[in-house]
Amino acid sequence: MTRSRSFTLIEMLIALALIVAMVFILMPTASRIMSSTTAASDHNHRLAQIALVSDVLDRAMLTAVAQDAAGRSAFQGSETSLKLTTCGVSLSPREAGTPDDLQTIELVFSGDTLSLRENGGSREIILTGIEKGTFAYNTGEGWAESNDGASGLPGVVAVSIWLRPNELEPVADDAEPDAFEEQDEHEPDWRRVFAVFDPAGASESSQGGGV
Amino acid sequence: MSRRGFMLLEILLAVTAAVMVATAGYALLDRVSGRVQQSSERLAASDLACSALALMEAGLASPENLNGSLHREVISLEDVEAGVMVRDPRYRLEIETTPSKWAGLVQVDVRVLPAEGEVALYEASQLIPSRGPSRGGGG
Repeated sequence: MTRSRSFTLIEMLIALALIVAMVFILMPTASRIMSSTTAASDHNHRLAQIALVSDVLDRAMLTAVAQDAAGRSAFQGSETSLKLTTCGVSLSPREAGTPDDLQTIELVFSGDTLSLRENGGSREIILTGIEKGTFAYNTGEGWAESNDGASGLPGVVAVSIWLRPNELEPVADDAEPDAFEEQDEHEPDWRRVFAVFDPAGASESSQGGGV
Repeated sequence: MSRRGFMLLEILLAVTAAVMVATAGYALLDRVSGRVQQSSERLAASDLACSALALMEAGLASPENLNGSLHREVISLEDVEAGVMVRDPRYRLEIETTPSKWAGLVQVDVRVLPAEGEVALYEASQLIPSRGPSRGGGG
């Protein structure tokens, strides 16, 4: 009968040292993979939220009307909020006496969120993790921080959103700042200009004017 | 039974397995980062194209103003105040206009490319009024 030799102390210590070394080598990689996957998931979630904001605004601007049923200005825009009336059939419940084909949409930047309120209903948060968000309006006479719709609908509305930095996303150490970036405040993470379709403006444009 | 000499093979196998896991990890990491970067670029490019079309539709900028680099030192953009909303040094626009069969409307094709690249990241086309609306300003 052969006698099996047990491991010596030195063999055990070397094996243990190798295991510890391998854990230390693989730990940062595993950690980076985990955080990167989480950051990617978070990023995709934000992209989906921004796509929703973009879609809501796109549809609202295409169907915006200058006056409500009572003949008042139907467009109220400030730097942090935008309320407009659109035409079209809505499936959401509305107050008695409200015309069926007119509905109101209100978007408000508040705290670190952007909320949506339709037809005076409850507010629904559609974007989170915002550092700052602004609306800007252009009627052809430059960008303004507000527009009360008194002189009709603005030509375009620009929406700019600065997102809170994602702590999970790696920051490149060697990233050189843009020469112009240093002079101004940093550019928003998302910005889009929406054309406001104004049937009155469209009919006027066919009669003249030029760029 | 002696097991002398067997330990080296075990170590080699363990090291090989560790290297394979690390390589796979880095490959996965690169792929995830690449996808995130790609989706961000595509979103930015589509927003730029749609914003440029909106400015042209409203008569606040002309295709000539917006064609080219979106860097803020480009003179054509500085001529149009509305252009500050589409400046982005990472991209440039190629804008072509062609007559349409509808009176008063012109077809505008917008391509968004990286500042130094030739592969379009996003393309969009739209019919816009061939003459700006009367409320429109600075072109």
